[in-house]
Amino acid sequence: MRSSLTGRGAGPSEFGRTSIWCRCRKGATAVLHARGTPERLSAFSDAVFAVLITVLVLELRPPEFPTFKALLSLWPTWLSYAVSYLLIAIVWANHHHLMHYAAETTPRLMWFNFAHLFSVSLLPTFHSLDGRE
Amino acid sequence: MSELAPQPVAFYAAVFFLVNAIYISLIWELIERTPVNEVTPKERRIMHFRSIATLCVFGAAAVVALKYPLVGLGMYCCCLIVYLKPEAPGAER
Repeated sequence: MRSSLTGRGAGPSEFGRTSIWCRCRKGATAVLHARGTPERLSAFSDAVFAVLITVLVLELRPPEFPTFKALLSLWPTWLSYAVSYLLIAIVWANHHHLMHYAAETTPRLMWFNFAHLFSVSLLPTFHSLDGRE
Repeated sequence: MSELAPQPVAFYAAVFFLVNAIYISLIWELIERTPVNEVTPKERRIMHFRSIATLCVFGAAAVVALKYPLVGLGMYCCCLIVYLKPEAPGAER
């Protein structure tokens, strides 16, 4: 059955987001396209942060000898792990706080968010502070 | 006994600098679009000041770490402390 459009525009949906709607001849309103919600962006970012904070621990190695001296000699590794862990936790908390202000996912927001995740993803690679191979 | 190597610490500070620089663009993208009744001008000012000040310190830490790695590490640890509370410090809600 063919239906022709009699009206078209944008308005708030039941979730408070902007959606594009059209009114058909019989009076029925159909939502054509809903603007992206920030929930998926937040969920994706949370997943990336979770992976990164887990990957950090893979860099840790047990000391060569089972002594406190051998354990303490690895202090730069422990320190860099602690600092990296703290940084990712802080970045996640601040990102979570900022995303409360996002009403919708704009392309700019999406790409800034991907750039942010890219920069954070470099941390596990470069967090060795003692210059070892 | 292993020690902190200057170049890895400096490079690490540079990664922190990059993370903070992109975080500033996220702040601008999200906070500037938010109505004034949700984020007060004072809060905006504090958030901008905090992010730019820490960006400068991260940049300085990358340079300092080349000579004094422990001092550089201390500098960027101090920057992290101001981000422990995500809300703008000192802004009344």
